[in-house]
This record gives sequence, C-alpha cells and structure tokens, in this order.
Amino acid sequence: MAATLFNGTSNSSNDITIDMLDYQYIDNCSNIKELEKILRALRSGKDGYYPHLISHCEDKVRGMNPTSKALRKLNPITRTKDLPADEAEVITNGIGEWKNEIHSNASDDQVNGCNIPPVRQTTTLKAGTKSTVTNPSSKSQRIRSYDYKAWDKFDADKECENAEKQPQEKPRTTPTSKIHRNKKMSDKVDATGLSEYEMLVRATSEKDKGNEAFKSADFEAALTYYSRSISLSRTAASINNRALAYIRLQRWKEAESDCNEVLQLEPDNLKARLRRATARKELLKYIEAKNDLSFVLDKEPHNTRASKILEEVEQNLSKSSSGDASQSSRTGRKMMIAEVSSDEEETDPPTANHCEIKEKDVPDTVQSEVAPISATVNGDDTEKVSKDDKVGPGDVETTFAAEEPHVEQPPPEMPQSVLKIKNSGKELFLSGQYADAAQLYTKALNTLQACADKSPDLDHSCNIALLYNNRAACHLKVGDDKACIADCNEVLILKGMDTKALIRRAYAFEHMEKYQQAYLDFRSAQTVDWSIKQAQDGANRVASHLRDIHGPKWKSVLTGDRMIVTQHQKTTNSNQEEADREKKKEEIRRNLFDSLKNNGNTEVKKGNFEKAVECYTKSMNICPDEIASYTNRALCYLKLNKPVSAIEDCTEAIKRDPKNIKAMFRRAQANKNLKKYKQALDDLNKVLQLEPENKSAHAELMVSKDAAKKEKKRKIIIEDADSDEEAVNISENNGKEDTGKEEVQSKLENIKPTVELEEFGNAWNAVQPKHAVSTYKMILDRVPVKNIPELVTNKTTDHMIVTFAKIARYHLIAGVKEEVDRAYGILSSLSLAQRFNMAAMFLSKPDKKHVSAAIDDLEAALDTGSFTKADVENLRVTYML
Amino acid sequence: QPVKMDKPQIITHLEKGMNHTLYDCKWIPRSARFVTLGSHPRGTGAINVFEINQRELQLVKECETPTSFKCGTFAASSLQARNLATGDFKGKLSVWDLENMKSTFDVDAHSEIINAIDGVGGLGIGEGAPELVTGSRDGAVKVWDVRQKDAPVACMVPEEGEGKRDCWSVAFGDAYNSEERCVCAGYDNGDVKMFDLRTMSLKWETNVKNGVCCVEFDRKDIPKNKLVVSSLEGKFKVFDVRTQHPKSGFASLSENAHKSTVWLVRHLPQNRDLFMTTGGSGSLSLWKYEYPPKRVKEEDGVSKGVIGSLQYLQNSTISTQPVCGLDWSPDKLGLCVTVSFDQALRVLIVTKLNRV
Repeated sequence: MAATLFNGTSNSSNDITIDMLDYQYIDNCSNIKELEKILRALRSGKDGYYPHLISHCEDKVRGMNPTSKALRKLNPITRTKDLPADEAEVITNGIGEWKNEIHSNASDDQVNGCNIPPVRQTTTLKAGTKSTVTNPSSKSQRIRSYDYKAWDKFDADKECENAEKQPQEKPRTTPTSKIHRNKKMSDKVDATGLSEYEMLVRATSEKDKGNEAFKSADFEAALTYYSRSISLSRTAASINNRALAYIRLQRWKEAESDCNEVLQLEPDNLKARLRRATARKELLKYIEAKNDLSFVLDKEPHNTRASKILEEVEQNLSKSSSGDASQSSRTGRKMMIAEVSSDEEETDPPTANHCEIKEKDVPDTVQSEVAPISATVNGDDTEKVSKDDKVGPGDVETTFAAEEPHVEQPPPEMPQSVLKIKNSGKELFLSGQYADAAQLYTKALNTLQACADKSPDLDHSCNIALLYNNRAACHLKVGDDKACIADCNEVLILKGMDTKALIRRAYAFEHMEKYQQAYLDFRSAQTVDWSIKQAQDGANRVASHLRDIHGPKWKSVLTGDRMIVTQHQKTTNSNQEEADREKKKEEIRRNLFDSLKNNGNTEVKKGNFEKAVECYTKSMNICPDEIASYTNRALCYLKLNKPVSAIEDCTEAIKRDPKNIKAMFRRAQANKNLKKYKQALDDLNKVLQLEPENKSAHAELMVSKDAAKKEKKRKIIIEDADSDEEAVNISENNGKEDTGKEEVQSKLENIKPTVELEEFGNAWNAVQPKHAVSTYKMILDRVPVKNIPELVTNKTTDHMIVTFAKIARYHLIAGVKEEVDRAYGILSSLSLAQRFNMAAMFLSKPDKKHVSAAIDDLEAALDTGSFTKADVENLRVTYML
Repeated sequence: QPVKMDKPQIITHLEKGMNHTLYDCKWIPRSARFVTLGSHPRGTGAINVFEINQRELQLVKECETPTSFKCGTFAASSLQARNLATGDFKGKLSVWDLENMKSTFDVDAHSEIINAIDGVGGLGIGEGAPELVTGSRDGAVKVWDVRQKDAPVACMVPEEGEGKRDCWSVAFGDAYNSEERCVCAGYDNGDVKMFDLRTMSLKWETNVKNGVCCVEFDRKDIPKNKLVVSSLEGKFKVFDVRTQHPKSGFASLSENAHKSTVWLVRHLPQNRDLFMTTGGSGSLSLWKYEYPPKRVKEEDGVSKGVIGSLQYLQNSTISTQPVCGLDWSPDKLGLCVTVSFDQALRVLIVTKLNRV
C-alpha cells in the first residue's frame, strides 16, 4: 500500500490511480473507457475487495453502455439440481417426454430408390500457401487470390482493368464462366425416396431457413424456402409465412391467394385475415379488405393495426368514390409499409382457433397431409410457467364467458351490492391481501345467497360458482388448502367441469401431498381443455411424485379418472336444480364431445389416423350414442388397415341408425379388404338402394364384383390343379401382378409346398409397399410353419416381426382351428429364428402394440386352437412383452 | 441484482466421468443417444454409445479398437442407417454400423492423424451426393464418397516444395443444389482456405494470424451465408460470406472470448444465427449474430458486404479443462452434449432459445 501511496497508481493498472476507486469519482466520470478500466481494477482485487463499489461501478457502466465487454462475467456451472425444484422438474420432464416421443417416432420406415448423383470425378487441387491459381507475376499475394475470385464473378470488368494478367489466367477461368452456373434453388424439394418422418424434418428445416432468411431481410430467399417447405408439407403456418414474404415483395396477388388457402385451413386465423386485408387493399379490393378487417376487429376489438388499416381503407373508399384513385393508392402504400414492418414473423404454427365450420362427418376423400412441426423440434417445454400467476380471480370472468358461450340464457346480472363487494375483493386480491379478499367474497356470497332466496326464479348458481371459485383462489394463496378444496367442490357441484376450479383443487391437494387426487384433478382439467399448460405441468409434476412414492406401477393406485369427473353429480335437494344441472352437464358434455371430434377430424386431415382414433374413442366415451364417432373411427381403421375393427364400428353405427350410408359404405370397403365380397356386395347394394346416385358406391360395387369373380375363378383353378398337376393358365385375369402372384401361389400350394431359401428372401424383400400385409401373407402362406426359422435365417428384423404378427391376426380372423393353429405356429416358430432376440429387443412401442395385439387375439382364440394358455404366455415372454 | 429471466440459461443436466480421454461426441440422429470417441490410456480407440434417461446417463454400447479416434460425424449418413464416420490417429477413415459395432468402410486416408472430419448430403441436410471431408496433419484435405473405396473424389494438397501445414479443421458449406458445394479448411499457421468443389478451385483465402482451431458455416445447405473461424489466443472471427468484394474480400468482425484458445464453434441446427463457442479454460459462450440493416452496399459500382454485430447471450464454465467436443441435438432444441479433457462428458440444456 505504501508504494501505491507514493506513486499514486493502483496496483492493478498503470492508468488507474487510487483516488479513482471512489464513489464520487465514478459518479462524475463520463469516460466509458476509463470506467471500464476502473471496473477491471476493482475486480482484480489487488487494491482490496469492495463489493458495493464494484456493483456501483457496474451499474454506472451499464447505464452508459449496456453491452460493454467489461460487464461480462464468467458464470460458474449451473446444474439442474441447483435450479428451483419446479424449473428442474420442467427440464427433467421435458427431456423424458422428448425421449419417449423420439423413441416412438423411430419406427421402421424403409425407404428405397433415392436418386443420388454419381460419384464425383477424382481431382486434385494443389493449393499451398502459394496457390497455383494465383498469378505469380502479381505484386502482392493477397490481391492475387482475390483477383482470382474477381475473375470468377466480374469477368468483363476485369478484362479491361487487368489486361496484362489476362492471357495467363484466362484458360483457368473460361471453363468456369462458360458453364452455365445453376445458381438458383429449386422451388420444390425432391421428395422421392423420403420417408414421412424425413419429409417432416425437411419441411421443418426449410421453414426454419425461411424464417432465418426473412429475419435477415432476404425475402426472395425466404419465399423460396417457404415454397420448398410447402412442397413437402402444406401447413397453414408455412403458407401464412409465405404470404407475408409475398407482401414484403409486394406480390399482392400471390399473397392474397396464399391467405385464402390458410383461411380455408384455419378460418379463424387472424394473422392471415390481416395479411389478406393488406394484400387486398393494394389490389384495390377495398370492400373485401374491409370485410376482413371488420372480422379481425370483431374478434380482437383492440387490434390497433387492424383499425389503422381499416381507417386507411375507408379513406381510400371514400376517395375512390370521389374519383381520386391515384392519390389514394399512393397514401395507401405508405401506410401499408408502416403496417408490415410492425408485423412479426411467425415461427410456430399458430395455436388452433376452434373451427367455425363444424363438420358433421369427415369427407371420404381425406388429404393425407404431414402433420405440422412435431413438438420435438419446438422445445417449448423448456419454458417455465409460473404456477400462481394465472389463477388470479381477475380473469375468472373471462374464462367464465369463454367456457359457456352456448348457454341459451345468459346468467342473470349480479345485484349491484354483490358486484361492489366482489370488485373490492378483487382489488384486495390483486394487491396481495388474500385473507381480506376471502372475507369479502364470503360476504358477497352471503348477500347473493340472500338475493337468491328472495327471488328464486333467477338462477344465480353461475354467479355463486364464480364467487366460490374466487374465494378458492384466495384460500389457495393463503395456504388454507382444506377451505380451498371445499370451495372448489362447491364450484364443481354448481358448474360441472370448471377447469379453474379443478386446477385450484389440484394445487390444494398437491400442497397437502394428496398426489393421487391432485393427479386426477389435473388430468380432468386436461380432458376438458388440452391447451391448459398448468394442468399439463401439474400432471407431470404430480406424476413424478407418485412415481417416486409408488414405483413404476403408480398408475394402478389411481382409482380412475371417472370418479373425479363425475363427482359433481352429488344429489341435491331440489329437483328443479337437479334438472338444470343435468342440462348444463349435457351442454358441457356436448362441447367436450364436439371439441374431441373436431380434434379427431383435424388429425384425420393431417393423416395421423392413430391419434384420430384416440380422439374418437374418447368422444365415444362421452357420447356413446353419436354415430359420427363410430363412422369416423371406422374410416381411420380403414386407413390403418384394420378392417375388422372398422367392421365392428360400422356395425355399431348401423345398429344405432340402420340407414347410415357412410357406415354401410365403409363396412363394405372393410369387407372387401378382408375379401368377404358377399357381405361387401350386400352392403353396397343397400347403399345404392338408399342413394342410387352415389358414385363411389357404384365404383366400389364394380371393383368388388370383379374381385369376387376373380376369387371364384382362382378357387376353381386351384381345384383343377389338384386333379391335374400341370401349370395353370390364368391368362384371363387382367391385373398383371395378381396373375403372377396367384400363379405362384396356386402352383406352390399344390405342387411344391416348401419354398427355397433364396426365393423366399427375394420375394419377401421385393414386396412393395412395405405395409402390404396381404402380399406378405401370400408369400408366407406357401411356407410350412416348421420351415420358417430356416427361411428367415438371420435376417430377422423388427419389420418382419410386426408383419408376422399382422399375418397371424389375419389368420385369427377366420376363427377356424387350422387357421388359429397356423397363427400360433407362425409366431412361435419365428421366435426360433436367428437374431430374433436381437430384433425383438429393438421393437419400437407401436411395433410392440401390434405384436401384443396379435398375442391377445391368440389368447382369445384359446378355445379353437390346440395350444394352451401357458403356450401363449411363453410367447409373450419370448417376444419380450 | 435483477436477473433477466428471458435470457437463455446454460444448464448442466447430466455429467459422467470416464476412464479415458474423450475427443469428440455426436448425437445419433432421431434418438436420445449419442456417441463419444476417444482414446484409452494404452493408445487404443474407444467408441461408446450413451442414452439419456431423465436423471442419468446409461452406457448402451462400447467398443475398443486398435487405434485412438480423433473425430467423427453422422452428416454423410442417411437418416435410416445412421452410420458414424470416424477419423483416427493413424489417418484411417472408417464408417461404422453402430448397431453391430462393425466398420463397413475403411480406408487409409492420410499418412498422419485425421484432425477433423465433416460430412454433407446425409440426414436430409445438403443437396447432392453424401460426401465426407477429412483434414490431417499431413497437410491434405480430402473429400470422400463412400461408394468409391480406394481413392478420394477430391484432394486439396499443398504444392510440392511447400512446407506442409497441419490442417486442424474442415467444414462443408454452400450445398444448396446438387452441383454447388464448397469446403473450408483451417490450418495451424492461421490460414483459412475455401475450396469450390464444383470448379475445383481456391475460392478465397485469408490468414487470421493464429492457428485455426475450428471453422464452421452457419448452415451447410444454403448459399453460403456466414462463416465462423475460431483460433488460438481467444479470438474468433465471423465472416459474412454472402458478398465477396474483389479487393477486400468478405466483411468480417472479430471477437475476444474465453481468454484462451477457442476450441470450437457450433451453430444451433434450428437457428443459424445462434452459436456456441467453447474455450480452453472449460467455458462455453453463447452468441447471437445480428444482421445489419443492409447486408450489401455499393462501392464504386461493386457490391461489398456489411458485417453485423454479435450479441453475447450467456456463458458458463463447465470444466477446468478445454472443451474439445460439442454437439447440438438435431432433434431437440437446446439439448447438447460436450466432452472435455477432464475426461468427463456432460449433457447440457440451453433454455429459452426459441425466444431469443
């Protein structure tokens, strides 16, 4: 220290003197460089450690230059366990969910025939520090190399400028400049040979690239990337983004048509409306633009952008009516640019608005589209959701309104006195005085109760529920969990499935460590509204607690979702109230059903038939009498190649409505797939009786008749072959492939029961598409069960196991002893093949489902087959289920 | 002190110490697994496959090979096959079927250690044929097509009589249609060279004064956009490689980070403008590139690039030793795996990247 005092400089830096390390000096200093130096000196600790002075200096620097490098601090490692419990939970669960998802995605899509360009011609480029491409006579090496590049690009200019360099470099560059350089990127991605998952990955990445290009203001490139993404997967989000790119490029027509398409897919997409309005305004379609804008303002009355454009449009309208068109279009454009620049880019598909058009049934020609970006890529789960912020009573009213938009009679207004108390309660709540707020709500409740008693004709139950709900929020905040639960119970009795109440009760249960009840409540809230993140997070969190407590079988300790869902059916005193409640419940159920069905329909449109089946099954549980769910699910089963389940569903539907054309038609299709042509023809005839003009039924009828004929013919021919061992002539058949296969089949069934190893392998691998189980079955039908292991050799794959399981299910459909035995034989002998254990180990979840379904079916057919229950159990073990 | 909660956080989720040196790590695409490459103390190679579970790392497969591995990539493999291409200490390039832990392709690519490898055309990234590029201490940069076993399809070697430079880093880029493709290589003397594979010519070169530890394009499958070059002495440079000026070349900015060697630069696969740099002192830094209002300006009738700026988003010191391997998961935003010379591998999660 003494040394420092003598020469007046600090230990850490020569420029910094001790007297600079002072509050006042720092306050007065306006030189950012000097401040940064002071900060470094302080941080070095050589002149002592002054934490307050350091932070004071940091604040000063931050105030002058928030991005100053001196402010950068090295952060130590942050581990998940260092985070607050809820954040850590979100991360851990996010990873877990992602892992499950990616695991189930990794199914066996096999892809053939990618067109890869040929191998490049071998070449060597000698490029050391003195590159051969550069001109040795040039003065400076650096310029030389750039000159080469300049050659490549600016040929003409350089020819004049560097006249003397030209003869030497020309031979090098001419080939480059002569070949037409295909600088452009194609607007489409070559999708041949891509699996569905790959298409999805590509579509997402092209959209990402589009967004990036858009952000760097390269709209042309963004347009190309969006188009490429759309060529792989027509999602509303990509088309909507492309519309914006068109707008930026002032290509109004294209922008409008893109918006049209988005609005066809998502009629409530406000962004698309706004963009279309912008485009239409430029196309001078003022009236249409106005329509779009008023639609937006209808939904979002405070959308400033929309009102701004509307103002402009209206001005233009009046101007153009007065004939001053040129003037108007100019001002219009100015405004437009201002509007668009404030428009933000859409990086994720917008959350689905509920559909306006409620389809009664899914159309028969469903486009099979790829689903929009899977959650895998989104990574939304990393974000933290604060659990309490959203439960405040302030927003209860809006939820209230949103949840029951279809109530025929609006609930009566609260009496003024009650409203007053309620509002002051709300204020207290917002200011954090929860206990006082609870008291006020109690008071409001009592007053309202008194009012209700006075005038029994008004139904105040909704308002009472609202007050209870708010009081529950207060209790939750205070930590009075029991009171909160009691209040929530009241709400649920009065209002049925109120998500807020469910979630609050779930939190209360969670605080009391009653995780089972909490889990059920979260799940119930989720069934009502999938989009509630709190419910999702809560369910995940509680589930992990339960897992910790009860181990992997924690689900079995739950008593079932239904219990809580139906808890609000408690008996009450008055019959009138009961009836009202029933009606309300019915409405809620109705809404739930509609939303589930719509979810299902959207999934069908995207091509996710399995998910659609789930939705429809749920909707069936809610309204078992709705025929649409059955017919829709049947359609999904048809698409998933599960004709038996499809037939079951159709039969159910026909039971409920004997004249349902769709059900009959779909049953006919399913029967046709199962080769039960007679039943198919019966159904089709019925359809045509009811609707003689139905074209698809006519077409289907023709196909089925043809197929039935062929079938008959084939049987006869095989019989012939039995008696006469000569090659069979089936030349009458039209389908070339069929002919070949059937020829082989009939030949082999009768002449040569065993198939050579190589032949089997070749035939198996040649099958296209890879999910054509019936084709595989034909091949396998020729193989005696005991030969399977040696034919399969070591080529066992997961795909093969699944196909075998599917074939076994086919055999089981017949229900005859031989067939059932063969089904068992197929599965048991496959397990003897080489590498079987390896392949079985790597079965993905959906694959396992197929296999276990087959074994379940086997078990169901125990009576018919000549195998025991123990055999089936053994199978289950060998297949690692 | 108010903490900005909307900033990304770098969180070390899982850690595992190993008993051998780790050099590289790569996610197996479409899975929750990754592979690490390294060297056992006795000089043999190590390939390990790990799977992440919610709270732990599980070793799924391991394999010991005769020679230590330096680097690997999946980028030239199809999404179905997911074969790993590796470069080892003796200059051998191999392609591995990880399911069976057997190599399906072996070639003595270089006479000395392969320092760096990169691929393109696989995994749906980059148009055209799948190709690998290797850079070695023997000074050569070679491009390989696994359909041609005996010889490279392109070879960039120093001219005879020239001193060999140790090539430390290679990267593919510009693969936006089936013809265009370029390779960028970084050398121990600070040279950076960009080769055009279509015309087989040197497109651009520069010297960044310090040895080039890593070069990477922000995306491989777009017309070349940005290139980041990291070097010894704690510096890295960002080049806007969209516009090349005949005299001044590409516009660039230079940034100091880590106060020690910047070992790696890895761009986020889901957003090309975010990238992580890793330092010799075990630190990670997350950066965001911001474009200037106009990327090109006209100067005497010739267009010239304009560089933007970098935003320093976050950092975290995860180790005491250099972080020599880092790979972002292509499937899950923000998930990445690192290996460092303290013989530890770490799975990190960077949060809120979608809000940056």
